[in-house]
Amino acid sequence: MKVLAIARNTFREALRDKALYVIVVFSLVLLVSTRILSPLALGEGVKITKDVGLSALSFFGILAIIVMGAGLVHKEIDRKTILVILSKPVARHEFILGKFLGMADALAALVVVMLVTLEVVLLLSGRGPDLPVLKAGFLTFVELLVMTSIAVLFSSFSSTGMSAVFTFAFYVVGHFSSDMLVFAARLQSSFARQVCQFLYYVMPDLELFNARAIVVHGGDIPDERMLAATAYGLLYTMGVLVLSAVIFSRKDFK
Amino acid sequence: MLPHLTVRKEVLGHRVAAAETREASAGTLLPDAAEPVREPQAERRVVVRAVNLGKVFTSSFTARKKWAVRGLNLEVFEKEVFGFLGPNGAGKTTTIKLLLGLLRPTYGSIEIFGTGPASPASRAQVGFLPENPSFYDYLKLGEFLRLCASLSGLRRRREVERRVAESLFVSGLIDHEDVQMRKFSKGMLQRAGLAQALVNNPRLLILDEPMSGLDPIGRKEFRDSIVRARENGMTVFFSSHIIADVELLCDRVGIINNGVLEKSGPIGELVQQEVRSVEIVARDVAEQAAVQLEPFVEERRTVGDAVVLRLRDELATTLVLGTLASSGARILSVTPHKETLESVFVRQVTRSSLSRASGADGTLPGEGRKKRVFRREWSRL
Repeated sequence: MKVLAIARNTFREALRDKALYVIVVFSLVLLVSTRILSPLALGEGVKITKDVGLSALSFFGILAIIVMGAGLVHKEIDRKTILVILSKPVARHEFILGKFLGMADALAALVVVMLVTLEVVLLLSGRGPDLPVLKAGFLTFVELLVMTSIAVLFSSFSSTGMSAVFTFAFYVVGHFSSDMLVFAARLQSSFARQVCQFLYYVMPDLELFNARAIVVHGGDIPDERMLAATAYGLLYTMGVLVLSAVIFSRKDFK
Repeated sequence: MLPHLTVRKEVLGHRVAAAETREASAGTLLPDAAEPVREPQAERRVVVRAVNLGKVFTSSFTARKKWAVRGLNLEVFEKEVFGFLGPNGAGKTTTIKLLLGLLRPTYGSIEIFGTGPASPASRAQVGFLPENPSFYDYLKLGEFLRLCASLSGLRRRREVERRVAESLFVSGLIDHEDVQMRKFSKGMLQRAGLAQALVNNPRLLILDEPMSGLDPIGRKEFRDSIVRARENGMTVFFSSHIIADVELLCDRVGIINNGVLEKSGPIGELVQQEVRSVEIVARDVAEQAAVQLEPFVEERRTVGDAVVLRLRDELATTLVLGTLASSGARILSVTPHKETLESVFVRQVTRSSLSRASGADGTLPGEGRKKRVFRREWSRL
């Protein structure tokens, strides 16, 4: 109940933040512009629309997380609103969970708006409705959940700017983390190999959530991939949230 | 007999303000701050208990340690107004944050209604107003209070609405329910802070510097709110560096300085109640009467055409007044001087600052011992 109240408030804050609207408008303009430019694509227009649409989902999602999510917890500490919330009978982990769920809610709204627009655009070009696009969109949403939990983690102990940088770094590295294993196999030193393997397991493997290549070329995402990626994403998110809650519950609010 | 006698209100003007506050509080007469109507302490329930509380802040860069609170023992009883008095940086806010679980104590223990602050349940019956509060400025006041009500554990919608309406009414913000809080003035924010603290109908109200930065009207309104809260059976714990407010409102006072609770107790015990001196201002004093009264007068000076006589004690007053009146003098005023909380406070703070300067510094126990031994040895040489 208290978690939901905090989540609702965070969601409301996101909705009243102009940044979210700028992001939504930009992504919609981008999506529609692919249709306008489609005559230039020599019959590949729909592929471009799907590719740009799904990439925009991931890109603008992570932008929203960096703009709004990186300050999720720290902004409350900075503005001292945290003193009012935590002086009520609210446990620290409830606060963290509420903040996460509120941000996840706002991202869900963003993803739904963008996917619906994408489907409408596809329908108008006579190629919809496209179910695999929705599945790929769902996987991107799970990726955004993982990134939100990471933003919450950093935000719970570092400043807004720092946590934005860290979150973005995780996003970039997360997309290359499977290369870490390949790289480790080629290393001579066993210590370096172990470090690489450790990093691979600590960093999220965000490429698991990237099914754009399959969907754009008209393929379907296998159910096992959907299930495995979703389970991995949710478990990773839970792990990071538990860590955030532990760090946050030891924090002093001077 | 004494046609022009005007007995000035004791001490300073704030006693008059006290009378006003009492009138404003719905016509009920408050027990005097100095003489609270209290049950024997042994039978009263302890609401807040801190035992040997200590908090060290460590700088993350230099690893330097600084004591914010040291060995603090505190008891706040049910249904009393406890004033936490101290200069800026004395450790008032730190203590309050320790009580609320916003900071974790380095050592010592705290109980709020018998529960430690690590458990959220200890805050279920507590309302807190932080110093210079800031709230979610994108929320309307009504939305914010509903959020606070849900966070306090109120579940049913009707109950939430009832509590929100009540706290809006009590804080005088009933017309501002639909106003975004970014448009609030400082005084309104403070009242909004009070409203959120009262939304769960708490049994303990903790206010951190509630009156700082408010204009005189705002301060008076806030004092009235504290009086009303206490009349409704709440225990009020508030920190302040404004002595007049503490003296007016509190049953008991704790004086904190440099993280140490220097003194605590009922105001009546801290401040000596007996009159320390009496000042009589009179005109047309006959020379003969003046000579006659000399043994009783400690100091005599002339201001304009009036004579100011300072007497050592109350006993001499009647005699001196009688003599003056019968000699045909016109008495303008008689003022008894008592010790004020302010003088106790200033004495206490200065004394402890002096003793600190002469050796007992703010280092950790054991850490400074070597330094002190060295200093002692050095001074022997």
